[in-house]
Amino acid sequence: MNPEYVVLRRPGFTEFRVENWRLARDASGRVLMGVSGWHWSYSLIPLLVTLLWDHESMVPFAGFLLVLVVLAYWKCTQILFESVIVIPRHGIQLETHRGLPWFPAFTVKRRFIPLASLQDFVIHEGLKRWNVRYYLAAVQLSGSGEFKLHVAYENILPHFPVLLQIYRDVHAMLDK
Amino acid sequence: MSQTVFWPDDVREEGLCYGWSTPTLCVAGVIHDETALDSLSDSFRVKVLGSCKFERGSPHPVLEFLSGEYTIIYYRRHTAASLRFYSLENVEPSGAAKARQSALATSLEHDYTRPHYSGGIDATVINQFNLAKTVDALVQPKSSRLELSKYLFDFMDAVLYIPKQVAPLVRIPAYLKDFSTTIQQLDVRAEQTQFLGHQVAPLRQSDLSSIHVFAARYTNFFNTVWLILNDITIGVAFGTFLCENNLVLARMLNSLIEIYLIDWIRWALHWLDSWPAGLKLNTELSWVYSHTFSDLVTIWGRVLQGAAPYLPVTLYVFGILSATGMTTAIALFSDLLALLTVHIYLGYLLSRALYARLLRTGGSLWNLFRGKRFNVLRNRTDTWAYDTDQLLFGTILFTLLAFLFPTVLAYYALFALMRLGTLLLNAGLETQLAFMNHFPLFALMLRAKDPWRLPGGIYFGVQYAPGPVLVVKNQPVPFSTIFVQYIRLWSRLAAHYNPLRLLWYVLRGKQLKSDSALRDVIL
Repeated sequence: MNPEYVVLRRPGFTEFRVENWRLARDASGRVLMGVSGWHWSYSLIPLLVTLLWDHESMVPFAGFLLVLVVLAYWKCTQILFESVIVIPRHGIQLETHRGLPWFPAFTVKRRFIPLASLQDFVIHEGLKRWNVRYYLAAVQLSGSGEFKLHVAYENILPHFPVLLQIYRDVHAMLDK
Repeated sequence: MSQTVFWPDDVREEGLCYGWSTPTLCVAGVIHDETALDSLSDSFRVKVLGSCKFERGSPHPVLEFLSGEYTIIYYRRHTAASLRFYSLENVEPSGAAKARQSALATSLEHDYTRPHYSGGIDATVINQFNLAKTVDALVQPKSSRLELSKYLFDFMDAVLYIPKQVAPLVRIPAYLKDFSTTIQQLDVRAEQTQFLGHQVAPLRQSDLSSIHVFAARYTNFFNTVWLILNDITIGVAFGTFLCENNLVLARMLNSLIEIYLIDWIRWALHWLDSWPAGLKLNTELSWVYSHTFSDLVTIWGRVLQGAAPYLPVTLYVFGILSATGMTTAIALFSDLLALLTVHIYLGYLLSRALYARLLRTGGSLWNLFRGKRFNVLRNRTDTWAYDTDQLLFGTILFTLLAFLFPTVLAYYALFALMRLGTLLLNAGLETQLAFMNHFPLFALMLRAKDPWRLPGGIYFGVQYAPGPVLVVKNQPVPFSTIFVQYIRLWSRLAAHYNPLRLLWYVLRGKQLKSDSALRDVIL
């Protein structure tokens, strides 16, 4: 039903991956990408560089370079996909993969929660201004007796139907 | 249900594997004869698990003692001397999360659908990972060095011998520290030396089985040592600069003091006396104010002029003293600044006292004008029937005060602004001092050079080359944990020197003080 949700089963662990795109919710079958690749306007950048190169003041060129650097940084840290890896009997790991689209990820942010300290894996209801949003959370009880909530898929934040599927699959995996 | 076996990734030989079987199977190494483990089985609780062999096709070991399916998860064994280790660090919650604690705790307690998990990786398994190489080194017949070089600690002990005797004598009581930053800095240095002196002995004889305690102590010790050495280096450089240029700098400083601290204040007071911006202040009161403060400033100016020829020598002495550290130099300059602006402080005290008194009297007379009175017993404003002569006299006084108020306000505003300026300068220097005294240099260097030595949790990475298999890897401590004291310091500074708060204090006539409890936040 939700093709951006992929389950990869490997010996020893299972990965529940949500990729950064979705189908339009009006059932037209249109694909809405969350990552952006190359745009035709980027090919005008060398033109701008040549125009600003021999200016009498270097300030516009420096400003343009700064804008370019920021743009490049933003492009290279786009969310490719996020996943929840379940390692049966050991724990779950929440991952976020960032990088250029259609290349292997540049940076991966991972957080491992051992089953010994995992209290529950739930769907929580959150209020964001006037909306109600649902999110998957892993509740961890740390050694010092404090609870900490870790949100799964915290950048993509898929909608409820996807979350319900993931919830059921993760619990089926954990209870085996 | 398939079992998981933790296998060290550098073991590729066949034989008998030994390790731990609770809480989960963890192989520490491979031996060839069973008797080698007899001496160790009590202290480390290892036992022989079974035999293993490697087949030609796959790089993964085949464990013959396991009947069902099993998955291998690799981990890395580190020698104890490398000070690398795993740790299942648990995160500290912030203050805002504590509000959610009770709601979460209650709902989790009463949720009967909550699954309960047992077994699996936990702190015991992490300890086993950390001990694996140590056990292996003891089991293998070849000898290996398990101890860190003791010569380093002997050297440190020799160097610290005299400072260790002197340091406890230099501890200064708290009330003296408020006067001078230099005394405060001396105290900090004495405390650091004492700490170093006490840490050498435990470090030298610490056995490496409790590696995270040892690593924390080691990091702390060498962080302090490195900070002090850096401090002294920069201090020597700065001191040389001061000593060589003391005449030029003294001349510059003298002219700056003359222009900004003496002449400008006198000009500002004269300006306030002569219809500032077209406003007419009360002539007599303004005359009194401006001439009093002008005379105060002139007297102080003469004192400073008398001391001016000694300034080059003072700077030279500062240069020599800053060989004990850049922090000493900053502390000395902070004290010099405080000394030079004594006249501003005095002027501020006088004008603030007058302004505060005026405000309070004006407030109570205003209440009288409205027919109310502040009831001290009940801490509120009550209606009160005054006598006619009281009302008359009170109203006259109120009118007087109201007309004198702008003059007092003008002079108070001048001194309050100058006091604010010097306070912010002092605060800047003190913050700089705090940063230089407690910078986490060692932790940062480790984070860049060898993140395995600063573990902040583990994660499972996937190795695709010989079949997708999991590898336990170390996650280094995030920067926010390394700089946690700085974040606390910064939030404290921002709260204390908040511009709105300072403005409110100025308007109310409350005394502007520097944050004396700042140093307790970080020490």
